[in-house]
Amino acid sequence: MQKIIIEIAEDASVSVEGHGFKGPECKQLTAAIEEAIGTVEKVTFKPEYRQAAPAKRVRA
Amino acid sequence: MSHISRVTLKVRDLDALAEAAEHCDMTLVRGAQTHKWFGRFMGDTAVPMGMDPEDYGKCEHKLALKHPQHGDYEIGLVPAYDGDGYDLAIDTWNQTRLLDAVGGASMPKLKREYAAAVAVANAKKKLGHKGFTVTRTNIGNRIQIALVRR
Repeated sequence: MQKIIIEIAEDASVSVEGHGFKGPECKQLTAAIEEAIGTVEKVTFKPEYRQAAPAKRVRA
Repeated sequence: MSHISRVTLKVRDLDALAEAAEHCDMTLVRGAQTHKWFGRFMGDTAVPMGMDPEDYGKCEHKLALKHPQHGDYEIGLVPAYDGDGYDLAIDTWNQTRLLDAVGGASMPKLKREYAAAVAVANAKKKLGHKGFTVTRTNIGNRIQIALVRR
């Protein structure tokens, strides 16, 4: 399961966090939402970001 | 998880702001050129960056209480100092009803609802077709938007 959590704190500060992704897909998926909400001030990449996404198998 | 982003809110989406206003028992009045405030700058507060007290009360749109009483002010939307969207101009002096509606002088309730409206609309529009479901949950004074793909 892949999950993106957008947390809006009491003071209206916003954080966006991805779970269950490998590689840069999560950042690619959330970029448009983050930019619509406002200005991205800080991004912290987790170890999973550096891991390759699983290769897609194609049946021939 | 792969990343965490911290995002500073910018008010750019009037449809989302109108939705947020409903949660605060307020209405967005598009195209309003003035908003109610004390009416005279007393010099007792700092002037926001890029604003001239001569222009206080001028706006491009405004937020008004749905059931205003005599003496209630309104929130003006003025072009942001950095040119990106709008700043919210509010005169907080003696404004119990207005401040209750938006959650206080820094308007956290209004801003939370705006952020939620933008997040939900954009999540559905941009990720709905990629198999994500979008769920909003209120947790006290916080809001959580969950986008899940199984």
